[in-house]
Amino acid sequence: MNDSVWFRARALFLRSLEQPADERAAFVRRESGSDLALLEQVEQLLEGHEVDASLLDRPAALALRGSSNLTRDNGCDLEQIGNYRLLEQVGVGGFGVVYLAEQLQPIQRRVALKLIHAGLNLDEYVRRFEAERQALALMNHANVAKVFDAGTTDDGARPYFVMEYVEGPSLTDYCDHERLTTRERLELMIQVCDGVHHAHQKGIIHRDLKPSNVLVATESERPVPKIIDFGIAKALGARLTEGTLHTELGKVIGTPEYMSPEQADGASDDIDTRSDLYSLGVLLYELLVGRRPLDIGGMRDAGYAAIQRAILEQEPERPSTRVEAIDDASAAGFRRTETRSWVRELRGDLDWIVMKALEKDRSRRYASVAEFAADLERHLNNEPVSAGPPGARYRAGKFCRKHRGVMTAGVFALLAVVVGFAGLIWANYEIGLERDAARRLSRELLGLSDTKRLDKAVQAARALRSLTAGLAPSLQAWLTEHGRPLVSRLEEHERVLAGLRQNAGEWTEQEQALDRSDEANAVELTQAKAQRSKLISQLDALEEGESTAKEPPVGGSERLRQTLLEERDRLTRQIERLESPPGRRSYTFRGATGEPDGDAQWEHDTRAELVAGLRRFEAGDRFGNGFGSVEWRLREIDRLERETVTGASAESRWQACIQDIAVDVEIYGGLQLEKQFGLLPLDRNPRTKLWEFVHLATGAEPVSNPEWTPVVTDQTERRQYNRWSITNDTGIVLVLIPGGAFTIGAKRPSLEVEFETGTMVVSAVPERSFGEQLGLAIGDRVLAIDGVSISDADTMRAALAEGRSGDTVTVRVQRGGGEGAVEIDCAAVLPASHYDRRAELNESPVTEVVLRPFFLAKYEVTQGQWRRMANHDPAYINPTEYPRYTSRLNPVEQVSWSDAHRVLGEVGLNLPTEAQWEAASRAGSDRPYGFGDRLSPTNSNIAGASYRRVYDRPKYGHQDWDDGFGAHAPVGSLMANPFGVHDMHGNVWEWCRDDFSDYRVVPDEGTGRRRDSSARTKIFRGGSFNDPDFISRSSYRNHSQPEFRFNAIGVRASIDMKR
Amino acid sequence: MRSREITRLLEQASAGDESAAAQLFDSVYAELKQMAGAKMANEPLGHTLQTTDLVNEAYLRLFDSPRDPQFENRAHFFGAAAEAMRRILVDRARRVRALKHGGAMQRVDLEPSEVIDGAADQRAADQIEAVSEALETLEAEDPRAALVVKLRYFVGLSLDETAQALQVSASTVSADWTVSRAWLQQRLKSRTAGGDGE
Repeated sequence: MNDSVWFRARALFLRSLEQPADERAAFVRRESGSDLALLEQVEQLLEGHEVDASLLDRPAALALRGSSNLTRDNGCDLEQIGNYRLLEQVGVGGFGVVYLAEQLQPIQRRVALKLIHAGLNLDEYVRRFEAERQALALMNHANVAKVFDAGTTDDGARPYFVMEYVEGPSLTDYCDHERLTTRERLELMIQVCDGVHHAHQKGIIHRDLKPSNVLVATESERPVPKIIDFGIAKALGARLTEGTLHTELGKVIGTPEYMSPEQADGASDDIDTRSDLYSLGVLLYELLVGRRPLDIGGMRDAGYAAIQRAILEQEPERPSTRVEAIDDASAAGFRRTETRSWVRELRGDLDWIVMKALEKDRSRRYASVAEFAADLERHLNNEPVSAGPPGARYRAGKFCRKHRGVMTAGVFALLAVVVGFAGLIWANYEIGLERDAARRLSRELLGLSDTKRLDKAVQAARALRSLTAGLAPSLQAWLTEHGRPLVSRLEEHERVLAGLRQNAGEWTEQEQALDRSDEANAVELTQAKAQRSKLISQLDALEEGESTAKEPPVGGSERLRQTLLEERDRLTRQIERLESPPGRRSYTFRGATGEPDGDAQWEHDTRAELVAGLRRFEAGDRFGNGFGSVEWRLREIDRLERETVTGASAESRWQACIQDIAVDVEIYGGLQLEKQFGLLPLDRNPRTKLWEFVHLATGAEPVSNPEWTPVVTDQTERRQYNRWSITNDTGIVLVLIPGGAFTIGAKRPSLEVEFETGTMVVSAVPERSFGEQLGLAIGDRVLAIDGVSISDADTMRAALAEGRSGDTVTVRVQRGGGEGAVEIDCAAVLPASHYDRRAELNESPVTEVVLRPFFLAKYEVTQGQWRRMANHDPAYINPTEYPRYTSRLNPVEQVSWSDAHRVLGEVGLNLPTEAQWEAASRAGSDRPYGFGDRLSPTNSNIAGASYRRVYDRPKYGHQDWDDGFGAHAPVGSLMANPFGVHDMHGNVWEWCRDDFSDYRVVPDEGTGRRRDSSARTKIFRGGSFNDPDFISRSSYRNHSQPEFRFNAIGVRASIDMKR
Repeated sequence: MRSREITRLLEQASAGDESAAAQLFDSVYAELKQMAGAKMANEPLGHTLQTTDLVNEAYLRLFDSPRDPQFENRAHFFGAAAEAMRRILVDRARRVRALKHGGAMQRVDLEPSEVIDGAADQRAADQIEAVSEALETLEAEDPRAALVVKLRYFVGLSLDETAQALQVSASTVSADWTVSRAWLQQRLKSRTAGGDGE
C-alpha cells in the first residue's frame, strides 16, 4: 500500500458506493483497469463495507461498559419522571432499568418504576398498553404485583411502567438461600400458580415468566411470592421476547430456557395460557432440581437457531433422573436433604407433574394452571395425582403414605380409632374392598411406621454432625432414642418379609439365573453412574469456560464436547438397562383367580424397602447419618478427647505450650491459653516465634522438615520453604495468631506522585478537581515536606511516617519558575500507610478491628484433607485428571461457601473472618502485601509465564514473572509470610466467613466478623494462580453467591480460640 | 500554567514545534485521565465513561473562553484529546481483559469501578484493542481519516461534532468515516478469521 494507491483506492471506493450494490464489483473492475494493486485495495474496502456495520457505530466507551445493552443500561439522569421522583436504581433487566421511586400524587407511596430502553416503536407500545390497561386494572391478587401506570418520559424518548414495589430476592435465590425443602418449595410454587391463574382468568397472559420475574417478599414474617411485569411483555410486543436473545454480534444472551416451544417457534402469534404453564413447568423443574430442564447454556454461542431447535425438540430428563446423574451433595444441602432421599422425593408424582407441564405439544399439557396447581396440592396431601400412570399399586402406596403420619402417633389407645378411620377411608376409596382386608392393612401400617421413624432418625442424626466434645451426650441420647430401637427391629422386619415372600408368585428359572449375576450387575451400575457424573461435570466445566481447560483440547473443544456427549448418552443407556434388569425375582402377588393382588404387593414392596433402608442404616458409613455413622462419631470424639485433651502425652504437650505462652508478654501478651479440644500443640516456629498446632480430626501430625532452615532466601530449594513435611495423611496445621488491634483496608491516595531524578513530581490528583483543594497541580515539583528536603520515596515516607489522616504538612513546591508552600493533608501524599492507588472503593474506609487471638491454618485445605472430611474431591484440577500438575497436596477448589461452611463445621473448624484473614495476610505490614510493596515468584503463585504455558494464553498475566506453577501449587510450595502462613497471596482464592458488606458495618466483637442480612454474597480473598498481582493484595475483596464454585476458589480453615 | 500555557503550546504545536506538541499532549492526557478517574470513582456500578462530555469539559477547563483558541489550534486540541482518549480506553480495555478471564469466573462480581459484564465486555475490550492497533496503520496512510475514527469511536462525537472539531465540512468527515470504517472492518474481519488465539 502506498500513498497514491491508497488515495486513488479511497476515491474509487467512494465513487463505487454511488452505484447500485450489485453493480459495484463490475464498476470497480472496469475503473481500475489493469491496476491490480488498486483493484485489490478497493475490493477489500468494499468487503469491509459490507460487513455488519454496527461494529464501530457504538463508541468504544459505551461498548466497553455495556456491550450487551440488553443487560446493562445507564438509566437516565432525570430526578423525576411524570409524577414520580426517582429515589434509587434498584435493578437492571432485559427491558431496561428499574428504580425505586416515590409517587407524589394523587397519593404518596413507594413504587417501582421500570424505564424501558429507548428504541421501541412508541406509538405501537402506547396502543398496546392501552389495550391491556383495563384488564390489568382488574387484577387484584396477593401474588401479583399491581401495575399502576405507564407513560413516556417528558422528552418522549423512553417508555416506562409503574408498579407495586416488591422488595425481595428471586424465587430461585430465595429457595436456595433459605435452604427450603422440596415441600416448602412446592408450597411457594402453588402460590405462584394461584397468581398466574388469577391473571389468566382476567384474560392476561404473562409471556415472560422466569425466576427474576417472581420475587419473594416477606409479609408478616411469611414469604409471599409476587409475580411482576404482568402485561408488559404483551405491551412491548412479542418480538421483544425474541429480541432478548440477540446481540448485535448474533450471540445469544438472556434466558431463553423459559420460553415455551410455541413461543420459540415464533411462527404463530397464537400464544395462550398454556405457554405460561410451560414456563411455570421450567420454573418448577429448576426449583426441584437446581438446573433448568434443557442444557442451553452451552449453545449460547451457537446462535438462536440451535437454541430454538433445542426448545422445540430436545426432551428434558426427568427431575429424579437428573438429580441422580448430577449427584451433587451441596445442591442437596440447599434442600436440607441427601441425594438419595431427594431422588426418592422426586421420583413418581413430581416427575410426572413436571414432565406433563413441559410437554412440547401444548394439548398434552395441563389444560390450565389451576389443574397444575391442584396436582401439586394432591401430591403434598399424598393423594393420587392426575399426571402419570396411575395403577393399583401406586394408589395403595399413596394410601399408605397418607396415613403413615397418623400411624406414627404411636399411641396405642388410638389404635381402634385409627383402624376404623383407615378402614373407612379405604372403603370410600375403593368401593368393594372387604372390611377385614382393611383391618389387616391397618395392622401392617403400624408395623411399617418404622419407615417414618427411620426418616426421623436420619434427620435427627443430620443435626448432630459435629465433632465437638459437647455433642457426645446428644449422640448417646440419639442411640437410645432412635438408633438402637430401629436396629433391634431389623430382624423382625426381615422375618415378616420372608413370611410375605412365601406367598409370592413363582421364582422362575430365568429369574434365578439373572439373580445370580446380580452382584456383578450392581458393581457395574455403580461404576457406570460414577463415570457418568464425572462426564457431566466435565461437560459443565466445558460449557462454563473453555479457558479453564489445562491444555488446549486436541482438535478443539467442540470435538471434545461431542465425544463427551456421546459417551454420556451411552452410559445413560447402560444405566437404564442395569437399573431395570429384566430378571431379579419380581415377587409378584396374585389373588386366587390370578388377578394381581395390589394390596399384598405394596405391603411386600414397602416392607422390602424398609428392610433395605434399615440394613443401610445399621451398616452406615461415617459420612452418612445412620446408626453406623453416629457410633463412629462417638468413637471419634472419644479418640480426640483422649489424644488432644486427657491423654498423658496431650497433657504434657499442652502444659509446655500453655506455660511458654503465658510468660511471653512480647508476642502473646501473657495470654492464658486453655487446652483446645481437637488441637495438639506442635511447637513454636523458630522463625515467626508463633506457636503451631495440628488438628487431629483432619489427619495425622506433620513431621518436622529436616531441610527447613529458618531463614529462607530466594535462592533456596522449594522444599525448604516448608516448616513441616506435609503428606497425604497430614491434618490441618494452624498458627496461633496473637490478638490485638489490626488495621485493615486500603484507600486510594488523593495524590499521586512520581519520582524523577531526585525530585518528586505530582503526576495526578485524582478524586479532586484540579488544584482546587490541595493547592497542588500536576507537574509541580515537591522540594520539601515540613522542612525535610525530599530526594526519594524513603525520605518522603520518613517525613510522613508519623502523620495520620487529618494532620497537615507544609509542602514546598516548585511550579513553573517560582516556588511556594502549600499546606496539605498528610494522608494525601503517597506513600503512606494503607494507601494504594490500586485500592478499590470497597476496601475503604481503612478501619481498625480488635481481634482475640485465633488459630489460622498455615496452608489451604488440600484435596486429600477435603476428601477425608467430605468423602469426595470436587477439585477440577485434580491428580486423577491432571497428574502432571497436581497431587493430593494441591488445594481443593470448586468448593462453594456453603460447602466449606458445612464441611469444616462438621469437624470443628471454621472459615476465617475477613478481619482475621487480612490481619494474617498483612502479617504486621501496612503495605499491600504481607511481603511488602511487591510479591516475588518465590512467595506467590499468580498468573505469569508458567500459567501462560499451561493455558496457552500468550498475552495474559505478568510478562516478567515465573513462579513455576501453571495451575495451583501443592500447598506450602512457596515461602511463608512473616506469620508462617503460606499462599495468602495467589494459589487459590479463600472463602471468608463474612457477608459482603461495607466496612462501616460494626463487626462482631473479638472475631471482627461482619454480618449483613441484606447481603447476598460472601467474601473470598487472596487472588489465585489465575489472577494478576494487584488482585492478590491483602486488602482486595472479592465476593459471590454462597453457592458459587470456581476452580480457583478454595478454602483455608480457622478456629476461634475457646476460652 | 493552564489556559495561557496551553494556548502557547497549541500555537507552537500548530507552528510545527514537536516538543510543544508532545507537551500539549501530555497536559491534555493528564487532565483527561485525572478527570476520567475522578468521574469513575464517584459513579455507581456499571457506569459508562462519558467520553464526549469529558473532552468538552477538558476543553472548557483548559481555555478560559471557548472562543479563545484559533480555529487550527482548536483542531489541534481535539487531535490531542482524541489520542489521549484512545490511550485511556485502551488502558481500560486491557484492565478489563486482565480482570476478566477464566471461564466461570466471568460471573464473579468484581465490585469496584471495574464492573464488567462478562463475555460481551471481553469482546468489546478485544475490539477496542484491535481497532486501536489497526488505527496506527491507517494513521500512517491517512492521518485525517484516522483522526475521524478517533473522534467518532474513542471520543464518541457525532459526524457534525467531528466536522466542527476539525473545522472541515460534514461531507468530508462522512467520506473519511465511510472509508476508514470499511477499511477497519475488513481488517478486523480478516484478523478474526486468521484465528488470533483468544
